[in-house]
Amino acid sequence: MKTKTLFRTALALTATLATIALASCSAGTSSGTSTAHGTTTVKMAMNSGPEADAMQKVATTYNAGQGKKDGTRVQLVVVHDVDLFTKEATEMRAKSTSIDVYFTTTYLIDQHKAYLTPLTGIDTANYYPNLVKSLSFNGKLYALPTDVSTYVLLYRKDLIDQLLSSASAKQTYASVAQSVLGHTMTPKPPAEWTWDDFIAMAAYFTKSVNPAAPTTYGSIMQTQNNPENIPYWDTLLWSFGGNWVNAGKAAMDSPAGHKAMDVLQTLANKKLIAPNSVNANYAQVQAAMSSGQTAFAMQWNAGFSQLNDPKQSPTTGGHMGIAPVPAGTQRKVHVQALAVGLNKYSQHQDAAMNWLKYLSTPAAMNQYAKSGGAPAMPAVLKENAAVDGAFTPMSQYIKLYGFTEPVPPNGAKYQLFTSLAQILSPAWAATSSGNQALQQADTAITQAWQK
Amino acid sequence: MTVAHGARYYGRTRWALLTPLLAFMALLVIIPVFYGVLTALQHNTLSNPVISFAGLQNFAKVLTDPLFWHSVLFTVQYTIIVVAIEMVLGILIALLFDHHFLGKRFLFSFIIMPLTIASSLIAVVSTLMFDDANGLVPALLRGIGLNISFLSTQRAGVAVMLTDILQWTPLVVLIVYAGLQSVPQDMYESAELDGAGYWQTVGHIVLPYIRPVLYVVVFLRTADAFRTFDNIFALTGGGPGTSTTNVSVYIYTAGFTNGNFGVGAAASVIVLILLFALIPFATRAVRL
Repeated sequence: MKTKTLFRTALALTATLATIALASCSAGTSSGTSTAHGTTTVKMAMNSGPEADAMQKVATTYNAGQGKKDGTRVQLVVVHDVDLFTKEATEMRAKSTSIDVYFTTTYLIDQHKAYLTPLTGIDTANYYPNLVKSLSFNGKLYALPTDVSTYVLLYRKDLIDQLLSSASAKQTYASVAQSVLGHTMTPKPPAEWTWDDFIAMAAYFTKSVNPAAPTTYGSIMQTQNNPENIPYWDTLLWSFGGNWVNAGKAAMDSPAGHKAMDVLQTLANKKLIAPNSVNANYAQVQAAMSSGQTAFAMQWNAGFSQLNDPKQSPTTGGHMGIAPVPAGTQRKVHVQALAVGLNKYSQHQDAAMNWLKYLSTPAAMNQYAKSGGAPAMPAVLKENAAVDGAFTPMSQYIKLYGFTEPVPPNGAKYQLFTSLAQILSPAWAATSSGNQALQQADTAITQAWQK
Repeated sequence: MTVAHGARYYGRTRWALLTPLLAFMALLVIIPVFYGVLTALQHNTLSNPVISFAGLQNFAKVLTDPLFWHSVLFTVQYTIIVVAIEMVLGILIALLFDHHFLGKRFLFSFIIMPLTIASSLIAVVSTLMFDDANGLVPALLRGIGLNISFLSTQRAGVAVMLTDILQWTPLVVLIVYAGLQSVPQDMYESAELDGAGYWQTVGHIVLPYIRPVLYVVVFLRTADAFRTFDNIFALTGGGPGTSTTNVSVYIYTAGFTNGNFGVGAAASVIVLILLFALIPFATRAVRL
């Protein structure tokens, strides 16, 4: 090839690369929303799963009805939750306009609120007041709650009933309790359980302790190093009267903290829970329950309908019971909301508000509940009690026992979740010292409260 | 064309030929690295949209974080172990394929199949293999009376390493096998005439002959293993606890989970500097 030809080839290659680069940059910064025939398309991010499936049905109804009057069309952008929050973090930091409505939660709102437009003209009277409060700052609502989530005790009703009705089983239970707790116990219905009952029941249903047990392990705990498992731990901590802080000072290393840690370490040390508890969150608990490996578990309310459906879970379908989480010195349960907020940099503020106002109506949430969501509106949950067996008990537990964690002065609640999960999770699995972990947790809390 | 004119002409041509590569490097390497260093020097968090100059604070935060050093230690252990095992296994398998046998082509295709599968998918398959509740491997071991939890704190590191070895040994096989094809047949014949056994021939002639190839594979696998993310993130998420947190998971957690891009970028820059140490090894190996 002649030198001139080489020179021209090189120039052509450079031009091609430059064109590709410019095209990539252009695609990356385009708004992604469009206006055609007088209709504005609003893009809303959602995490994949039952919530997105339910929301798609609400969006379809809106697009076919009210959306036409509003001149607004909603399009869901569905991504798996971990990837979704990563994608959203990138979009937010870049002040991108490609997503109009962001998906958020009560525990992420502190990170996200700087990129959200405060919502006005929303009737919040239908929602759980605590959740509205968790999503509000200085009296302004930054995101609309779509789903309410709390922990419940899901149990195999058939197996527990068998134990409660058999005299010989009760004798075995008493001796099993003696071996793991040092004192005998009488089996109680799950709604009355304390954490001691939980441990004794876990032992009774663990084959290595009770060879006649119908399950391999009594339970499975969500003790993975995952910031989203901090509410799980907090439910235990609060049940013993604990909190992150007491009078402005870190209070994890407290009698309540030690009792909560003892529960988890006893379960792990005595091998009364499935060994994959160290890597477990929602999905692993569902798998352990639906396969018949475990007899009961503390789980998100969303898990009940799937486990009790004979089509989805042949082993447990029709046999599941639901009860409040066990009590320590009191019964307490973490409550949180999934929510959606309006991107401050969206070029379709009015259209997105049209959609969010529609979404805040009981009619929209009614359809959402019927399609598999768990709206954060108590009246809608009550109206749809027949749709999901968890709705009525869940509403009751939230009302009686619900709590949300305090927000650190630096606003970085989720960062604190992450630090605490890193510090505490090895101790939950009894692979490191509980005392040391609680002390380190206090250091992390103190730092968060000092900033 | 005079000598001076020709030299000038070729000089221009050389630069013209280099331009696409330089433009490519500027777009994909220099600009992102510059932006990364800039971010590392900033208070740049998700919760506060106002960016301010942080000096070396983010670097100090990373360097004084025990979890960062734990992640570096795990990364180094992970890299040394997986690269060593992959090299040994890869060379042995490549030597095996350097012989003629029935079904060689089919078996070779089968062996290199993991290379065509996404790492995250391999990790999902590994989860299904190693999961204590429903995994195939623990179930088989339970069948012979061994109750081993592969995803426990003590063994999760082994599980992520096995996954890496399963996926990347085929790359070593592929490259080493290609290298073996360049060894002249007469070298084997001469060695045989001199009375050398098979392993003597391999150890003293074949492997030294393909040494540049081996160096390249070691370099590629070391750099890749050091930066592993998808495999660990999908299989253990860096846990249980922080037992399998490597530098990539640390950076991801700092940047995207904690929303602290400044700290994430500072950790990335530190890792980049650590990886720079590999470059002289690679350039010397390929005799640049």
